[in-house]
Amino acid sequence: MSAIASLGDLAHLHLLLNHAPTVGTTIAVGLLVLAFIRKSDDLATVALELSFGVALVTLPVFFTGLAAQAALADAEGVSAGAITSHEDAALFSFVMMAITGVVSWVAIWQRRRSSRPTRGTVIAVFVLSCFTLTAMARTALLGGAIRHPEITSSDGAAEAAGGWLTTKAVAGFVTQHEWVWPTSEALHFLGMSLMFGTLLIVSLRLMGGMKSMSFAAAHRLLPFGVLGFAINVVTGMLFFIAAPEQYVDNVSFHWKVVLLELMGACFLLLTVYDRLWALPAGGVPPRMARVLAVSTLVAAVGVMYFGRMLPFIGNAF
Amino acid sequence: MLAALEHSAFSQWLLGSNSIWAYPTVLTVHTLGMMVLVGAIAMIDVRLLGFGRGIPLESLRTLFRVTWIGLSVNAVTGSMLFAADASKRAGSPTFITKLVLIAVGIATLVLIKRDLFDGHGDPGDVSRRARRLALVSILVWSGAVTAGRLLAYVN
Amino acid sequence: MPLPLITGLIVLATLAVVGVVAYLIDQTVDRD
Repeated sequence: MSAIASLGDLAHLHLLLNHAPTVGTTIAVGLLVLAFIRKSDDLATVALELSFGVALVTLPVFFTGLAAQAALADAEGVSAGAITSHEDAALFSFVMMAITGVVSWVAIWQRRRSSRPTRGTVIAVFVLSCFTLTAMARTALLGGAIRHPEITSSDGAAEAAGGWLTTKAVAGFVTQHEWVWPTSEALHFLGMSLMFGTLLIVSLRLMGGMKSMSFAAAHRLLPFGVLGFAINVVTGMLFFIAAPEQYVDNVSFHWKVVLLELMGACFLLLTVYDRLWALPAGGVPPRMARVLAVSTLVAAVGVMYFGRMLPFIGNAF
Repeated sequence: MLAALEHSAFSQWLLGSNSIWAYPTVLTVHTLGMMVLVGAIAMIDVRLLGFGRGIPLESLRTLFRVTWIGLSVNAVTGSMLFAADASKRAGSPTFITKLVLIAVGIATLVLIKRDLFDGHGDPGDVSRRARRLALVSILVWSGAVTAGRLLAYVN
Repeated sequence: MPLPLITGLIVLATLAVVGVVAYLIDQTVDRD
C-alpha cells in the first residue's frame, strides 16, 4: 500500500495544522468571554464545540510534529536541542489540550441533556482553555526558534522545557519497565471495546434497531465512549512516544489517524444533533441518522483495522 | 495430534502465506469479533449496574444477539489461530486461562439473560443477582481480553 | 512481580477509575 504522505509532506502538514491549537483555542476563549458578556447560550455552545474540535485536531498536530522531526533529522541549521525543547513543551500542552477537550465534551453533553444550568463545567472549560492557550503559546514560541533565526534569542540557547513530562522521560518509562507495553496493549483493547460498545448501542438505534429505546436513553451512556477513547489516547501516546519511528511514516498509522478524526467528528454529531436527540422510543430514524451510524461504525472499525495492520501494511515492528 | 493440526495444509497457508489475506486478516477479524462481543457485553453490564436507566431492559435482547454473533465469529477465527500454533498454545497457562475466563464469561452471560428474560416476557427491575452477575461479567471479560493480549508476552 | 499480576492489577485499577468517573459524570445530569 503506497504512502499517502512522505515525511516531508507531513512536516508541511505540521506547519499548517499547528495553527489550530493556538488560533483555535484563542477563538474559543474569546467566544466564551463574549458568550458570558452577551449572555448567549448559542455562543457558548459554539465555543464548546470549537474547543472539542480543536482538541481533536491537536492529535495529528502532535503526530505530524514528530514526523517533521524525523524529516529534519539531518537538516542544516536546525538545532536538535531546539526541537527537543519544542517537543517537550508540545507534549505538555497536548495533555492540557486533551483534558480541555474532554471537559468541553462533558459540558456539551450535559447541556444537551440537562435543563439545569451547567455553569460549573463551562467555567472549568474556560479556565482550562486559558492554561492550555498559555502552554500552546509557549510551545509555538519554542517551535519558531527551530527555524526562525530572526526570533531566536542572541545567545542561541534553546530554553530548557524541563519538568518531568518530557518525551525522553515517557519513552524511558516505557522501555525501562517491561510491564508497560503489554499492560498498555491490554488497556488499549479494553478501551477500544468500551468505546465501540457505546458507539454500537447508539448506532443500532439510529439504524432502526432497539426500537423500544429512545435515542436520549442511549445518549446517556456516551461518557463511556469518551472514557474508552481517553484510555486509548493515553496508551496510544505511550506507544507513539516510545517508538515514533514505527508510526510516523507508516501508512497504516496515517489512515488510522484520519479515521480517528472522522470518528471524533461523528461522535460530536451524535452528542449534539437535534434530530437524533429528538428520536423517541418507537420513532423511525431519519435517513441522515442511518448514514451517520454507518459512518461512525465504519470509522471505528477502520481505526481498529489500521491499528491491527500496523505491522503488516506498514513498517512497524 | 496437535502437531498434525499445526502442520496441516490450512495452518501452513495461514502462517506461511505472504498474502495480506491470511494470518493478518484472521487476526483482524478476531479483533473485530472481540470488539463487538466485549463492547455489547459492556453495554449490557453498565445498564444493569444502573447507568442509562432510560434504556428498556427489553431492548437489551438485541445486544444479546450481537454478543452471540461476536462469539461465533471469534470461535471460528480463534480456532484458526489456535490451529496455526496448536502445540504452543495448548501448553500455555495464559491461553488456558483465557479459555477458562471465556467459558465463565459465557456462563455469566447466559445466567444474566435468564435472570432478565426468564419466560415472564416483560423483564422487571434489575434484580440484585443480575447486578452482581454484571459486575462479575465485566471482570471476567476484561480478564479474557487481558489474557489474550498477554499471549504475546508470556508463555 | 510477575507480568500478568502487574497487568491484572493495573487493569482492575483502571476499571475502577472508569466506573467512578462515569458515575460522577452521570450524576450531573437529570434523572431520566
